[in-house]
Amino acid sequence: MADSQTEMRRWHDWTDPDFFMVGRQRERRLVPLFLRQILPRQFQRTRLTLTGWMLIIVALGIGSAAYNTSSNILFMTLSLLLSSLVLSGILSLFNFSKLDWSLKAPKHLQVGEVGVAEVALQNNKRIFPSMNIIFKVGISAEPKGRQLYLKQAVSAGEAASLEWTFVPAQRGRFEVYLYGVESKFPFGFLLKGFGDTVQETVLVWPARVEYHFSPSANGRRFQTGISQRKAGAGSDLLNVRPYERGDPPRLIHWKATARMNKLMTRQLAQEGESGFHLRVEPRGFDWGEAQFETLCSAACALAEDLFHAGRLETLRVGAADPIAVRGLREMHDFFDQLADLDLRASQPEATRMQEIERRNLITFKPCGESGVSIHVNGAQTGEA
Amino acid sequence: MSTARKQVRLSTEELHEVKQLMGALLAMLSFWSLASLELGSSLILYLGALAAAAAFFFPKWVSRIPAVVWRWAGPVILLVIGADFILHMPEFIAPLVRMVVLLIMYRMLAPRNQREDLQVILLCLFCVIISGVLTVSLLFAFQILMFAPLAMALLFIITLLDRGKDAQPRVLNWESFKWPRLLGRVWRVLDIRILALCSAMFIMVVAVSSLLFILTPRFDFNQSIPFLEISTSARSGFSEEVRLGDVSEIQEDNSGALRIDMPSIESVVATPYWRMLVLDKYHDGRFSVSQSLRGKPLREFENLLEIRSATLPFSQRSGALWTFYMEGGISRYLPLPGDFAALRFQKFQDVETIPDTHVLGIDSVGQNVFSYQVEDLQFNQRFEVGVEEAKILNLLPLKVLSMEGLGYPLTTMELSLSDSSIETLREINRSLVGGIELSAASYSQAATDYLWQRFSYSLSPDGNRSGAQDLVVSWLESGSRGHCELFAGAFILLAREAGYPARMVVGYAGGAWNSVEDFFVVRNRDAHAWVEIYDAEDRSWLRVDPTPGRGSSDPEVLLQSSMVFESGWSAWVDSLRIQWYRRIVNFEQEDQIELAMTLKALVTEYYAAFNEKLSGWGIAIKTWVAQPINVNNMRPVALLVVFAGVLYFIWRLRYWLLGILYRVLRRPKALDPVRRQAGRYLKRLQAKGTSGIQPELVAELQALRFGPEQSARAAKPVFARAKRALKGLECRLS
Repeated sequence: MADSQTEMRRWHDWTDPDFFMVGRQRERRLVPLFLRQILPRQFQRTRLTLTGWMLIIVALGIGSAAYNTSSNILFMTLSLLLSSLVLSGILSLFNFSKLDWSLKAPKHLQVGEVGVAEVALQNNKRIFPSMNIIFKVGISAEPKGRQLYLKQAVSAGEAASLEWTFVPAQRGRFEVYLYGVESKFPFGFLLKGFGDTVQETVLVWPARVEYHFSPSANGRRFQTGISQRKAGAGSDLLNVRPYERGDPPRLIHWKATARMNKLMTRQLAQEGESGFHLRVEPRGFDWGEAQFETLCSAACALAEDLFHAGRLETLRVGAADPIAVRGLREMHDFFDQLADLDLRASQPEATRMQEIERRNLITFKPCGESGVSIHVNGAQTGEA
Repeated sequence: MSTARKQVRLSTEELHEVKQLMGALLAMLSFWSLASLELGSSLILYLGALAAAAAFFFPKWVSRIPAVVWRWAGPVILLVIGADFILHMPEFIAPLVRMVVLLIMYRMLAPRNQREDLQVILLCLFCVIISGVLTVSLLFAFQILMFAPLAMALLFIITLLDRGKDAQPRVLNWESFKWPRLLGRVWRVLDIRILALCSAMFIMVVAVSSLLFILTPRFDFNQSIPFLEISTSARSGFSEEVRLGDVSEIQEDNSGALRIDMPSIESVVATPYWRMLVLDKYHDGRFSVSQSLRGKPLREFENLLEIRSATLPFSQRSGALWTFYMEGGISRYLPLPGDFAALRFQKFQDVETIPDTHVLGIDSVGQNVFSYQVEDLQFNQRFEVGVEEAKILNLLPLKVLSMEGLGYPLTTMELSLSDSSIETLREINRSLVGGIELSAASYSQAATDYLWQRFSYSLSPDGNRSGAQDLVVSWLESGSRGHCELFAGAFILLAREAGYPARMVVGYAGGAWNSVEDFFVVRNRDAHAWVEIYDAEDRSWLRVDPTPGRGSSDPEVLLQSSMVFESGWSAWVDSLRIQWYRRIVNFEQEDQIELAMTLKALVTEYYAAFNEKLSGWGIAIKTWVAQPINVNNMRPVALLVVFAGVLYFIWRLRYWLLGILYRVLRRPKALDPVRRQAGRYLKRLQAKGTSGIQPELVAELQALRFGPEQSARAAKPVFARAKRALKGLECRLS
């Protein structure tokens, strides 16, 4: 489950218009495009490598000796060295021409979960391959970055990709950077870099935490025999509705899609008990840093478990609008809000009227120095 | 869909193997370049070459050397190098070369990482350069042109294998290495496109480097690095002491000794004698330069850039320039056939001149080519005697027998022989001249005739030496064939006994014309020894060549020689050599200026011609416009319009015409031009990606390509739309 979720979280939704687009996103707005022609965002960095320094020193030495002795043999050697430098420059231009690259990072991750980012390279040249491509990548924890070497050459018209993994250690917004593409092609004299820094933001959800929750004494149950049909994860068909972002692909109704000429999805019915309304309120209590993280983790874990049990009705974080849980998408939105939740950020308090309306309301309060207690309708039913 | 075909590439392991082997190849090339240096390091060079060959052909063996050897090899090599430098001080070049050879061997055989690969390249580059600077030979050009692509290829592979600083060094497993497997893989990778691309790049590098070589400004600081000038010993036949047979030994060598750029082929009338050294003393089979001629006051030592001669009359001066390129290791004496107006060197030179004998030399024998320029060179048959020389030669009695400690010019009359040898010579002279006093020329002819009648020329002389008899005298008594030194030596002894001062001259005689590049070449096989006899009547030294087959026995008679022309492969190689010296080794600031002036003159000339033509057209048009309109005047315009119209219609109807042509040629319908063009557009759209293209357009193009035959007229609007769509795509992608 975790693997498939990781897999799911790697990419945007496959129905995204840009999902299959290869290469960088093109600027389509007129004014920025016009400005970019005058002030291109791409820039070139060139640094001498050890080989380059050696070449410079040798050339200087030979040049000095040549002028000192008027020896044409040395002039000839100097000319050959300089012409190899010229050739190196021309070939490195070819190497970088018509090269497109893009950075793909997962949109969501959980703390401690291994994230996989990918740099895709497309060689649009007709004849020449691109070789010795080095990607300079970095993450927010290591802004200095590291180099990833593309081991094989990319032939004309072909694409290649490099993946690297990272593990976010903290909840929040995690940046993944691609500083550009470098190469020492062809002879290693110069390390040339192209491209602007591309950045992708990964929302890091709180990690799961062990908790104890016993709602049976407090959750209201319907009497035996009476069931409630609502949309959920059952097997009976409840409805066929248009596809919404987050719906699993396996629920797509292909016949309806063909008839309606747009994506339609099956909505299944679930028979079960009434659910809970989960509320995370960062204000009103004196949370410690670690305790606040435990709160987020506990809320995340509890919400996930309740969702999978089909017992989650709504979610709410602070003063934000309650989220009616219909599917995974709403869960992801909730996790995103948890990821962005800041202890120090000012948020308006929720109105008391909205609170009264909710029954089976799960709330969280600090417990001790580092614990978090879980309450249902004000009574403690668990602890994390 | 990508249409690029998958290219075969070498794996990382294979690239590492190729890298190691290329290092060995570079090492072999560098050892080859060092082999032309005569530094007494042959043994270590041979060992190095052997090690390089082993590393290249049998890398498995080299890989079996245990790692502990490499750990200890470094310090041991350093110790050896240090000891070599200390033991051979103050010599610098030879220990330096041996050090480089040892380091290359170590780096080539031991496992290498990136930094060590670069060290190999640098060390090999050093070898090639040092060899080139010291020898200045044409071989350097080939070696550096071989080194450049090899080094670039090695750097390229190193770059491909670069995995950053943190990469683990790779340990190659050579046990599974097989040459056929690697060669097969390399052959598959090297397709025609890659080979063409590499050739184009190499040509580009050579072209750019040639341009840079020509354009790099030259400034003559007239400095040199003293320790880089290696001297060697002269050939024994051209040194201050020549044993009988030394000159003949040189004749066995067919390589070029001297190359001369002369004003024209007619500049050489008769067989040229390129005088190098005069040997006045004879003792027991050796001719040598006497002590008096080796030092002052007869020999002058100066540091000069130019030597001007006052002996040549102004009537004989025309400013004709002769440029000499003398190979290294021949002699420090410059071959000159006679007087000259001026002699110039490339830079200031330590010069030794012996005015009485008309001999000129530099301070040492270099290993590389030595060039000098002579103005108004003459081919002397007679050399004017010096004033002091004449006084001595005219005053003393004609017969001077063996006396110790004689100085020049008395040494030219010395006969340090046994009584029996002298008696033999006297007998021969009696038969030659019968007691009559002859002129030097007459005596020379008589003596030469005598020698020619009794002896024939051969590089393997005969004759047995008997007892205390002199070598030459023994040959005169019992021999029948001999080389030029024996003929010259015999003549000298006879002449001295007869009272004529005589001296031996060594150098070159003859030469050939290289018709490939129009220059005169003198080879080592032209080495020769002849005689100069003193003519008291004329107060000059007369050249006599007593060797048979050299023209007339009468020294006064100059026979016109037929020029020998060299052609074929060896002449072509020789011409490369002279081009190398002319265009590259001796390329100077003056040549740059001359090149620039020539280019300027060419451009000016073309510009003037173009301008003239343009104004001519303008005048013609004006004239035509001014003329009244009639049929004759309008004809050319009409023709032009008709021609333009025809071209236009051909362009508009090109598909229809091509269709007819194909039908006439009975080509199949698949090559119908409309289908072909549709296929081309489809392919281009496919390559650029069909997203963004109207599907109707693609369908129409497919219909044209695969569907029923359609006329060009019907296809044209579709092609126009496809062209516009492609342009739009290109704009979006750029």
